[in-house]
Amino acid sequence: MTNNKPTLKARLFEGLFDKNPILVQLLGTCPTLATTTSLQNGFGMGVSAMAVLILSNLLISLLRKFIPKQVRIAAYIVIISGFVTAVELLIKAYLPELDKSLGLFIPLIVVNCIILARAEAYASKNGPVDSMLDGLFMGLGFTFALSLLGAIREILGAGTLLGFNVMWPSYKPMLIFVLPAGAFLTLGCLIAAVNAIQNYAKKKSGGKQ
Amino acid sequence: MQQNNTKQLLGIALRLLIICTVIATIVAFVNYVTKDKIELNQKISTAEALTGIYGSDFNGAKFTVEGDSYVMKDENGNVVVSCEEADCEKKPDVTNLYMLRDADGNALSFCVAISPMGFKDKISMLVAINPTVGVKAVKIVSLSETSGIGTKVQEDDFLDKFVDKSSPIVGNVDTISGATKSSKPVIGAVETALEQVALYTNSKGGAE
Repeated sequence: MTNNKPTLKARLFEGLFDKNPILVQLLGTCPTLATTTSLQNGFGMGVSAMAVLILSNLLISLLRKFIPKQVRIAAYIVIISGFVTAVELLIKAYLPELDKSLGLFIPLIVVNCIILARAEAYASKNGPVDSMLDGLFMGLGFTFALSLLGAIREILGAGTLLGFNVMWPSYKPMLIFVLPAGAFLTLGCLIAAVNAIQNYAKKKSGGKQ
Repeated sequence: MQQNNTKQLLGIALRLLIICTVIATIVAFVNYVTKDKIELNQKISTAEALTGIYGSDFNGAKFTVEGDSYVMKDENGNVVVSCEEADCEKKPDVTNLYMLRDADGNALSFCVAISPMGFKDKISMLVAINPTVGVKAVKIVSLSETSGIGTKVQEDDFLDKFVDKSSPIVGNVDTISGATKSSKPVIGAVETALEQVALYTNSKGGAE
């Protein structure tokens, strides 16, 4: 009998690349497009969502036999919104600068479909440790994609990275990249790049076989 | 059969109630731990904005939070200026009306804390007003507008346009091209702030 459980490294790789919630599964596109106007915003949003994802996965997994099947989605939403409120209060108290820049989008984590999707697809069927790890790896993938998107948009749209000028003095920022249209363009290019890399990797591994 | 269904429904409701209670307890605990810190952060932001407006008038001295009011002290620790909330009827979007007094208790200026709705979220701002002259300064405390576009409302190029202006502001200060939905509420808020001070001074019969 073989153990088919993937290793931690494989699961990390899945979260970051193979099953990246943004670049491959295209989940949570709304907050992705709205908050990634800068690297700081993208990273802050990613980490906030990751904290909610880990905590909600843990509690949903612990309560998976207690939550009635008929009202499981309502129960998940209550749990997720509770943790989002807790994270929002903690950010307001200890990271006020991040709170100022993300504002309205922190409460909107409640309706982030990545969190609800992982609760339904994973946490409700697996143990607490596995569910927490799933939240961590998916959260890392979400944070990675948001940070990358935020960095590209900030550099092209404002000529800065984390607030520091990184472009040559005569560079004119392309404002479209901090607008929603720029978010779609950048996300499209990133998805194309990820697909190209995956196809290349598949061909390479196919050639070896 | 009917009894079984009722029993099942009650069971589901009870379980949901337990889940809600657990979550409410977690949120209540986090709120208990963070509420004082959040309140202090808001006061620090206001103190920083007040320093930005009045600091240069008093050799760069800074406002600090002292209980419910803000004070500016000299090098010897003596209070130079105090800023306290004035008790009055408030116009829409106005969160506080502060009155600045010198060490002898003479009224120096008014400062209106106002939060109009911007393009994405509320823009928290302070409008300093000298009733006889008009607007002394406008300072943005916090905003969540689009980086590079809506955030232009916090630049001095725009905010300096209000200095020394009195009512009417709307129509006399231009919106920012490309950031109309962020700059228009700021212009309207300065107008409201002037009206708020006029309302207060009229209600006090110009005594201040």
